[in-house]
Amino acid sequence: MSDLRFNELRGEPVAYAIHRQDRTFLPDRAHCPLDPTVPGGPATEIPLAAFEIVVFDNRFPAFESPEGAAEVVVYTDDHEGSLGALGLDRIEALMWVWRHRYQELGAREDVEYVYIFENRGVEVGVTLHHPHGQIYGYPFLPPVPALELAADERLGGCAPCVLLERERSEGRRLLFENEAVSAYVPEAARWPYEAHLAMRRHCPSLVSCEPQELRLLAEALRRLVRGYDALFDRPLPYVMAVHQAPTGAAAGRGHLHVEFYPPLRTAEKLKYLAGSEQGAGTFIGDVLPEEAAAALREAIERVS
Amino acid sequence: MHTSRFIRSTRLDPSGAVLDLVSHPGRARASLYPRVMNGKPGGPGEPRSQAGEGPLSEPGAAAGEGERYGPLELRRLRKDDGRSLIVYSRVEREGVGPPR
Repeated sequence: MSDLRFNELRGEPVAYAIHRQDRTFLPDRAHCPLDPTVPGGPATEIPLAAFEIVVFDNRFPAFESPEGAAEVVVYTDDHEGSLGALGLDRIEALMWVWRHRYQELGAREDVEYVYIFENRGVEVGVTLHHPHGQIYGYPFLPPVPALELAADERLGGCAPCVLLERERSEGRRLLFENEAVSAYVPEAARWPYEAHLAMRRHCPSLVSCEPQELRLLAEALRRLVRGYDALFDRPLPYVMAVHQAPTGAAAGRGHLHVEFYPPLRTAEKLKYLAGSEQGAGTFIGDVLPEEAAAALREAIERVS
Repeated sequence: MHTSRFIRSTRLDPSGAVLDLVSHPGRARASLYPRVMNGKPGGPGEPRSQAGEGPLSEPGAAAGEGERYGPLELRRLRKDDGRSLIVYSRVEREGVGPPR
């Protein structure tokens, strides 16, 4: 079981899940727990010979019922590949899976915030290479979504709506748009090649999206992550964070958008969170967002 | 987990301002329950079949009835150790409608 404490100096919760020390760590190819279970092979987490998308309770949960949830979302039964390598129909199906989990977990009394995310690459701590993401159902509103709600107050309305309007009118950091989604590098990106995908219509969550908007979100996700891999001509590690409306006491506030935090500043060099970032909370950037946007636009164009 | 020791939450006061709450032992948790997500009572988000029901369909898991959600069919299974496993398959390729 986990232990949740409150760091008074930081004003933030800290969860201790010490059982996760024993979680599966970079198993060899023949023992991937996210592979299908094939006749004669080792039993995996998924007792099926083939599947499209599966979601299961994390064996090493940071949060679990009756005080939250931790789920694993496996995108495909193909061990190789990535989110960007999936077909558009599969990514669209994934949007519906996310929507379903948001709706179902969000209806639980012990879940205040449904957070869908993906860690890609050992640089951000991936322990299993099989294409997958995770979902945490936090039993409290975590600090980052709380900050986004505070930004609503500061900007006098929906902050992502205001910021998206600014990015669209300025244009220098826009990456691409389709009929429902805009992709851009934010003006004050914290990571060298950080990018956001935002719904242009004010959709608090995936549940508010029309089916066609989910398809267009899938299309935008695919386009961006394929562009990321073209940027340095290598699979780009990232953290993908899906931000939506809280489902607890602050339900209904928020604006669906997906943030990507790639830790690389060059093809080989990592951006570390060092003294200023950790001790003072101020990111020191190595790449101007406008230059990052130009490089990303070129990479996206190359593979579109 | 010991979330009962505190729950950090955020809620709105009548003026719309965000109130940042840290509730300590003895303070009531901000709550709006039972909840219905986005005014869709009885929608697909509400579990309609209990995992673990039904006959064994796969080694290592017990199966429930299939459900529809948008273009997907989902089957709820229960793994041998009791954990939930949901299997999603796409059943509609075009003309996706709202979830049923």
